[in-house]
Amino acid sequence: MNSTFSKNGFEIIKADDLPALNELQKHVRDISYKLIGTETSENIIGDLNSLHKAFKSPEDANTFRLKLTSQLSSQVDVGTKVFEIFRSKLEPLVGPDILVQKTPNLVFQPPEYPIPTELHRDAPANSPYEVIVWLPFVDCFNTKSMYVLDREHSQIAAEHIKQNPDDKNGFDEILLAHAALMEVPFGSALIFWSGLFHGSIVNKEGESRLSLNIRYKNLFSPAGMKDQLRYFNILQTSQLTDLGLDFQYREQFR
Amino acid sequence: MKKYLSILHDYESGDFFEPGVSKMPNLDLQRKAIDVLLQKRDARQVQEFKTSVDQRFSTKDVIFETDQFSGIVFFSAESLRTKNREIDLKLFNSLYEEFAEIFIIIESISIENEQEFLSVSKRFISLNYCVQRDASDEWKDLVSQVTIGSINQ
Repeated sequence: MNSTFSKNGFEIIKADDLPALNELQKHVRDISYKLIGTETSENIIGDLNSLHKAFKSPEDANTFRLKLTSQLSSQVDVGTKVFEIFRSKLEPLVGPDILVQKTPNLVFQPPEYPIPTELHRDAPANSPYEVIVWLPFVDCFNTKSMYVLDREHSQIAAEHIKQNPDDKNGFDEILLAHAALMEVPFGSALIFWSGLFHGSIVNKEGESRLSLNIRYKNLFSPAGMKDQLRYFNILQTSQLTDLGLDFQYREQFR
Repeated sequence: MKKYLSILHDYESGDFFEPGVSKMPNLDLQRKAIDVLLQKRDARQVQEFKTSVDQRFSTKDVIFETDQFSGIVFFSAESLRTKNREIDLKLFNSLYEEFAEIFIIIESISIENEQEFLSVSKRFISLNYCVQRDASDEWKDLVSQVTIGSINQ
C-alpha cells in the first residue's frame, strides 16, 4: 500500500472518481470565465490552458486567483470533494480520523509569469504528519508543472543547510541534480509528504497552469507550529473515535 | 437587539511563535472584526473584556446577571488557552452554561445549539490530548527511538 509514497515521499495517483473531478474542473472553469467575463467553449481544458490571455499583468492574475479561491471555497466543499475523489490513496495514509485544511490554495501560473513558487518545504512549520494533495486542472508537464526533491534528497538538502547555512551554491547543486519536474496529467494528483522540498520555475510551455493544493492529516497527529484550530477542520472521524470522545466528554462534564 | 459580551486578546509584542504570522492583530483590529460579526447578527456589544497570557478569563469576572447577555464573542481561542496551550475545557463548559451563543472569530467557531457545542467540545478534547502527548517526555522518547524507515521497511 502506497509503497512508492513511503520510499520517495510522493506519488502520482489517479482519481478514484473521475466524473467528480471532471465536475470540479468544470466548476473551476465556469467561475474563472465568469470572473474574466468571457464565454466558455466546449473544451474545458482548452479554456483553462488559455486563461492567461485575459490578464495583462501578474498583479491582475493574482487578483483573479484570490477571487477564484474565495468563490470556489464558498460554493464547493473542496476539502471533502478532493478527499472523496482520491479516497482510496489518502485514507490509508492519514487514517479514518481526518483533519482537512480549511481553505485550499489555488495557484495560477501563466506562461512566463515571473514569480514561481519558491523552493520550500512545509514541515517545519507545518506538521511532518501531513500529506499535501497537488491537483492540477490542466495537464502539467515540464516547466508547467512543479518540482519535488524526493525523501532521500530532501534529507540530504536539509542536512546540507544545517551544516552549511551560507552555502547557497552547494544547495542549488543538490537541487539541480535531483529535483524532478512532475508529469501530472489532468485526472491525477501528486500527493507528497510535508517534509519534501518543492517549488516551481517559470512556466515556459505557453499554456496556463491552474492547480490547487490542500493538506490532510490525522486528527491526533502532532500539530507542528500551525494551529490546527485556525487552519484545519474535521473532515471525518471513525465510529470508535466518536465513542471515545463522547466517553471523555461525559467523564469530564456530566 | 441581541447583546453580546466581547473578549479581546492582548497578544504579547514581538514575533509570534507561528511562522508566517508576522504580527498579531492589535486590539483596534480585533474590535473591528467583532463589530462586523455584531452587525451581521444585528447585535450590539454591552461589555468588553481583555485577556492576555497573564490575564486569564473566568465567567465570574463578567457575569453579573445571567440574562444580561445573549452571547459571547471571542476574537480568538487564545483567550481560552491555558499557559500550556491546552483549551480550558472547564471554562468552555461554563461558558455554555451561561451563554446561549458562543462565537470565536479567528477559528470560525459558531455555537448556537447543544449539538454544535458538543461537536466543538470533542474537537477541543482531541486537541488537548495531542497537546499533552506532544509535550510529554514519553512522546519525545518514542520519537527519538523510532525512524520512518524502521517502521515501513
